Amino acid sequence: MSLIRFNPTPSDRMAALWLMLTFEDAVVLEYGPMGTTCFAERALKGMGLKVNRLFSTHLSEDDVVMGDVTRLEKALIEIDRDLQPKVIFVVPSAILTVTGADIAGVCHYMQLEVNAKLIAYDGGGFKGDYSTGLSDVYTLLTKELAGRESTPVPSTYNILGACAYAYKIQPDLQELEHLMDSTFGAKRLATLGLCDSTQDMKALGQASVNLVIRAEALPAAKWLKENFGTEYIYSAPYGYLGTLHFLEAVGTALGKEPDANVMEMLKGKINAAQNIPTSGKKMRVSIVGDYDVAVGIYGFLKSLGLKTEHLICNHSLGRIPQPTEDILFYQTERERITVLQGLHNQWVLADDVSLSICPADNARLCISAPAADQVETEESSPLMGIRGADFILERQRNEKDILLSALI
Amino acid sequence: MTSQVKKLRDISSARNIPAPSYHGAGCAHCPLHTARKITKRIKDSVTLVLGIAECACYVKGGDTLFNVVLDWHDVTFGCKDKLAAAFDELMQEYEPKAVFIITTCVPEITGDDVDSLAAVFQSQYGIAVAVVHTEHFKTVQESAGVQNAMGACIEMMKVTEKDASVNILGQGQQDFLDTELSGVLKAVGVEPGIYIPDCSVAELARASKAKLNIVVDANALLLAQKMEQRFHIPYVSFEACISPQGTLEAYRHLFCRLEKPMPEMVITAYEKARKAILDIEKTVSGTSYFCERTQFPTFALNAFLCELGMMPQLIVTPEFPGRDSADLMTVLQYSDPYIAQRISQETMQALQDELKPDMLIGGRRGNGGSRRRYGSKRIGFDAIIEFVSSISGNQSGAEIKKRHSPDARSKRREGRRFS
Repeated sequence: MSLIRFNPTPSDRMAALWLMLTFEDAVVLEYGPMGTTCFAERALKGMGLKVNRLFSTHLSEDDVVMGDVTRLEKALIEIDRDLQPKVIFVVPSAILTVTGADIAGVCHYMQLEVNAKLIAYDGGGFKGDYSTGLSDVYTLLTKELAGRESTPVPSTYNILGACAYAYKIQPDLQELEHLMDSTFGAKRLATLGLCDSTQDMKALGQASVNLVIRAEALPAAKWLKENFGTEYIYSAPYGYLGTLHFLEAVGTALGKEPDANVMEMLKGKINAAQNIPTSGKKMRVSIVGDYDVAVGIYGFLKSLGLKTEHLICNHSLGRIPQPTEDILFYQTERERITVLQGLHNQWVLADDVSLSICPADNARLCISAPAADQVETEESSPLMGIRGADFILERQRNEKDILLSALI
Repeated sequence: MTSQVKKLRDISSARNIPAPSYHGAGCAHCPLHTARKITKRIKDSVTLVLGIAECACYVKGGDTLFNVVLDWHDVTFGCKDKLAAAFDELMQEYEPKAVFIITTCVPEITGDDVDSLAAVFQSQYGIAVAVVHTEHFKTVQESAGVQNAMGACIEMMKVTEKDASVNILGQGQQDFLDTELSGVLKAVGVEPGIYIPDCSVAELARASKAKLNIVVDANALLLAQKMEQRFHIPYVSFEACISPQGTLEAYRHLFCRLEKPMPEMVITAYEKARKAILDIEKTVSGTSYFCERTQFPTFALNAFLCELGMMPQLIVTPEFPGRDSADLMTVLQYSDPYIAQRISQETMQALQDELKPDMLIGGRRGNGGSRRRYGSKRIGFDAIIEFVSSISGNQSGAEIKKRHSPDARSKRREGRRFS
């Protein structure tokens, strides 16, 4: 059961590139064959990442066999001299991870030779899948790039757990920003995972509260709490009720009452959403996606009285603290395909690959990456917050008649 | 002068050719990418890529591509069981007629004996299974993937009865029909039989019946040599040649093998190519240039250009023909240019500022000859005439100087520098 027919789960190393290539003033140097970099450049361009900051040392057979790191040393000096970046991230390829090259050691002594800050990531694609990579690199970036300033700026927050790979991340961030502004008048300082510059990361220790929207960022949030005393809230606001709970928790952390109008509007929407006709509640649902997206939307649909038959996670659950028992991660692609091909007359909310596997008699909504077939614009509806819940509810009402008529 | 270049006279082997310490956007492809481009052209076959998740994610695409993703356990204990299980699944679900297994860097480093496993699968399932090795750390050339994939096609061939057919190695039928060589063959009544790699598994199995292989791309040479060794099929090399005399020799060799008289149209084309060269000789003489990759062998091209009176200042190539190569000696007789395996944008710009070449030939930035493609549409004297006319149109260098004006240069440099 080891054949991969569709998209393999991205590795930890790929997740490292997603997070490191967001910085305008940093460079990512891959210590490995340049073909890997060429592939990455083409694949990551579509995610809006700064692929012109991605460089490769290439490798010769001598480097691999003899463990010679001169190539890496020279590349670090030349990049520092030619491009003058603030930070150089050094990421080894899988080959060097197998041979055991000590990249952190090289960075340690080469730090004396260069002006840029050297940060080594020691995962070469064997640590686990992208969930592992996100978790490790969120923590690495926080530890290495958060400033020393710990005086909190009132009514400010950081978002921890953004990622260019996540579907609808930009509309989601806009929705969060709008919610925080309209409910508390709070301003965002830094977004861990999508910061434009390493300078922005220095604000990580100055926020009044950290909002963790992805479980993989929890270790980073805990580190910030230990070192800067910043409280954090782990809650991805999906659905009206989820958003209400999120805003109440943020209010407590900030010591502020949420805006009464926003809360009234939310309560009104919660009541209205309960009035789904009984027939609509017969709709069967299956959800596939990244952990927090899948569980968040599952909770929302459950609050509407809809029954979810399958709740499937796209990545391993090892880095998710106490994951809900309702969610499953299939170790092999075959098991997953069998489940997806067995879905009929359901509303399937999933990634593009999973949606393409489902039979045609299902109604579909893309909620997670990979989403290569989806077009995202600035005006795209988010999945989080009030607008996200409006969007999902609207889609549910449009699809229910089609699905119910098929059932009759 | 930058450490990214050396003088050609100081080079003794391909390993001595300096390479930049780092490569930016626009790095060379992985041989996996180019190998897959070949295997997907073999109809009815499927490709199974054996590598890490990243290789699998990046090379994805097409319904004939499958992956086996290696993890740390496979690195430590070998991937035999995983590959065997995946192969079994593949056979049960898809029943392919042939399978290419592409091995990537990690299984090549760990030393898994995939060739032996392929032989086991072949006898177990009764289909052709070929292994394409694409260890990128052994080469900077993406064409290694094409060569190995073409070479692996030998495993799909069976011993058959000989006939008078001719195979075309290195080009598809559609592209080949547009070439001068195709017209010449047609004129003497020779219809090519099988075009490799644009053929089916069944056609590939019958490829050994041919009496002659015509190699129209250097990357197919490995396959031609293997076919000669295993099936005793001679081959004629018809890869891109910049010299009219060399091309004429290739035609003579071809017609000798075909046992047919050479048609007059070949001589006419030869004269036309020679005239085209004579026409430009005066105008290009004394022109300095940088030479990157073209469809022609690098040193043969530079020897040809030196004999035209042109002056190479920089040659960018990972290839080195050996100290006793006639082409190399010709180049050194006229000049001693700088040489580099690859070159970064910044260094290229600095060299242009310093050496001020009149012309850039080949590569992405230059003119005068398209980049080398796998199976060029120009074969024979046509390729020479096309190249010659493209360099003669730009001998003044006016267009190049305009494109690389100081303003544009400084803007580009600023764009990559951080403050």
